[in-house]
Amino acid sequence: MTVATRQAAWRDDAGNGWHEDLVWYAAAVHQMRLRTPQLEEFLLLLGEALEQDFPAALVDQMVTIAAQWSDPLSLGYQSQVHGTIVPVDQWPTIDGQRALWLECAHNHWFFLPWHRAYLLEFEAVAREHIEQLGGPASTWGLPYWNYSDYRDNPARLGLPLPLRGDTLPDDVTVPGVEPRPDGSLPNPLFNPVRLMQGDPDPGDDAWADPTTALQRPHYANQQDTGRVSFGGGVLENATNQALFHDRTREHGQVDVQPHGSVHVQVNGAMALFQTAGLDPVFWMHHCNVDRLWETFARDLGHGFPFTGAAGTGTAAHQSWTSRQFRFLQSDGTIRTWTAPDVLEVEELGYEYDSTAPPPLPPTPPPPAGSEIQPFGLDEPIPEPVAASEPFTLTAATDVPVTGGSGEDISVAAFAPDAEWLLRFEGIRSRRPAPTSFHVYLGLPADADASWDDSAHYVGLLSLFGVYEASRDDGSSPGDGQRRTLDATGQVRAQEATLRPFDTTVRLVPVDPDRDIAGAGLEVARLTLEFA
Amino acid sequence: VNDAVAVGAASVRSVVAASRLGAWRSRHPEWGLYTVAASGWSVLVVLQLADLWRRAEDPVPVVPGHAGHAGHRSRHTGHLGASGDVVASAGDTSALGLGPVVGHGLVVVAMVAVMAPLVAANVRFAALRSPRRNRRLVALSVTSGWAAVWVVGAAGLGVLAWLAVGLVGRPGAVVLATLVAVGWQWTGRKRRSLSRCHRVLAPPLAPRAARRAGRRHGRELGLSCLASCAPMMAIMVVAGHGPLVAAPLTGIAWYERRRRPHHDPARQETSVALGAAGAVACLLVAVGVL
Repeated sequence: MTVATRQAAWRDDAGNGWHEDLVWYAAAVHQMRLRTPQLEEFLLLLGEALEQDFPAALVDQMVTIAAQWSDPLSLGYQSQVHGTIVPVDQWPTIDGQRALWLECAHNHWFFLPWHRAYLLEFEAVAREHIEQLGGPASTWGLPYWNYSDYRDNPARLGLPLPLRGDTLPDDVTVPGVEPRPDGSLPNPLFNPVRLMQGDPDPGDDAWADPTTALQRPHYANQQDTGRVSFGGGVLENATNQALFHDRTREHGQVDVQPHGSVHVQVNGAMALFQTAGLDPVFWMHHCNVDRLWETFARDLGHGFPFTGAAGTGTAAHQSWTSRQFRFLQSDGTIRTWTAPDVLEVEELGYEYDSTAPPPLPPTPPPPAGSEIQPFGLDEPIPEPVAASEPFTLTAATDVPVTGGSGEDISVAAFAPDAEWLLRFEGIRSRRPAPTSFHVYLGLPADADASWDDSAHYVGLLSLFGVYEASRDDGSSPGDGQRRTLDATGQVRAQEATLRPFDTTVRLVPVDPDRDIAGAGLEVARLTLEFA
Repeated sequence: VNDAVAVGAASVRSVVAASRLGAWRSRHPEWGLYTVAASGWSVLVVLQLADLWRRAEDPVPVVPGHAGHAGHRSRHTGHLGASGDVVASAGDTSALGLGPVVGHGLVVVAMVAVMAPLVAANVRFAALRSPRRNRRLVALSVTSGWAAVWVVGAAGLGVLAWLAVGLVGRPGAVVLATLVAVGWQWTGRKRRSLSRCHRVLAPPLAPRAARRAGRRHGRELGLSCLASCAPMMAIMVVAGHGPLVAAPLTGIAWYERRRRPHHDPARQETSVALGAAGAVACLLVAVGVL
């Protein structure tokens, strides 16, 4: 089997930019766009909808367009596999088989394996187009956006150059791309509705930072233990469709940051499950997330679930091995994957040019008792000690978090090995979140927030998926999402001063210039918890 | 010595088992709902068996509204008896010597009880988001709010069923309820209310506020649940609450909670299942088993 190498979009050589693999990526995307009726019109409507709380008239027009995307070789069809606004009874059929749309897995431990299978399916479609164009189909690999390697070169935080600009540079030729009437050549990798079109503020790179994720001790965690794992909460019942597609379960850290935070940072089509795949940056972003999984599993030595004997035979193991990911092919057949099917990348026909981790600070030891079973299955349920009132997020906000009856109790009153976490419940919005928020614990009111202040900086509150989970139209329960951040390090660092029953959490937007108030972000409860 | 060792080992085993059970219960504060459901099923089964036994003893067809027999229905005509007994028709509560009010009440409570596991995930979530000292209280608050709505809703369904049976007879009412239930599966309202059944609550930490919020959340869940499931439960009400009808209908309600109302072809599946359950119920009513 030929092993294709997936390469970084940002390279350090002189010809940085339109590398051959990116040219062929653009060629494939162009063919996929040609097979997507009214794509340009759809993106214009989406741009309007994002500014107007998705009025029904606009959504109806978008539904009418997207319902035509019945060709599995098109960008439209592939994007709708991830999510769709089209009601199920309007989904197209292909050779008598109804489209398999809205299949994405987030917020639990199948997030990474499902998306790996999804990338493989997309890559296969792209190769088909490259082959038709006479390109190097068998050796071509999907390029990835290496934003998470920004410490070597902050320029990597910016969109890769081929994704920028409505037209192709003069010296670039993409096979199959025809000139417009004005003679210019359209850039297939450009998307006009992104909020991020070029270089972001290089001073604020948390949205691209994989450090917290790569430092988690486990791939997965049991739901409700309050542990924050790399890949997400265990789903012990693989057949429960409502749970598998529930957007409210416990996220893995990599799902939140950098995965979710990059979606929010780029924004536009990327801000929604239903449209993210229409932006060519989506596939390059997920390719990097997939690469980070390799880094975590192989370079950092965490391996994959159940590769040892621990945990085999449990309900979790049964779920991991039996859950199927189904993808409709262009001939009407269905290809099925399971999580164990997608663990050995070379057997899947690809490798990465590098999976070396970025520079990481010393990793804290895993929580006591978490090795009892593979994912700390018997760990205690955390207990909230202080909570906030409901609050809205329109700008930087100090949120009082109080509990008990006003006792002046310090951290020393709790077990010295206690794990601490901040839990956000009922996060809702009227529009996709325009930015993520930095979260600080116990920062004095007159102190400036700085996200390299490790004694107070807990992490990033990334809000990808909040809008979808806020919709009360039958597509979700409508009560929003939740997030958990591990605050153990910050509580221990402030042991002498922090009062868990009377403290403050400060939330600072990553990009304060975006329309935060318009998104109508609200949080039902924020708690400080220990276990 | 061997006996002493054996006794000691048995004691250790029982302590370990008790500790495991305790750990499991602390992780599953909703466990009481399964006990409640088991009690509900027991009541329905006992009532059904009592009815069958009474009929075996007294095969003479019952005259509608006959002296004090609150649970009797006309099997000659299939029409509602003068006693107006629709709700208390899980078998015959009078066979157990229960008065009409107690009989009706018992059946309603049993019916609500068998549905309790449907709200278990919501109860668990609210309890586990609370301090340990509040968990039982929050679980009870959510459950009581949810059950209160269903008890009132069940009474309302009873009245509607009474009217329907009076108008078109019991088999006709079963057919009517089945058609309404199948049609309801295809409405946007059904989809929204079914989605809302998955809502969860992270309650305040203060006990009194937590209790209030728990009850309110329970009531909201109950209303969503009622809007989602009332039409299919109406089949049960008009057909009698025998386990033969209650079990498949509860199973359908359980199944659709595990599917995505906006995605999976659950509507088609549940519509077919409801149609089949309604047909069986109609048949059982017509031949006098229910």
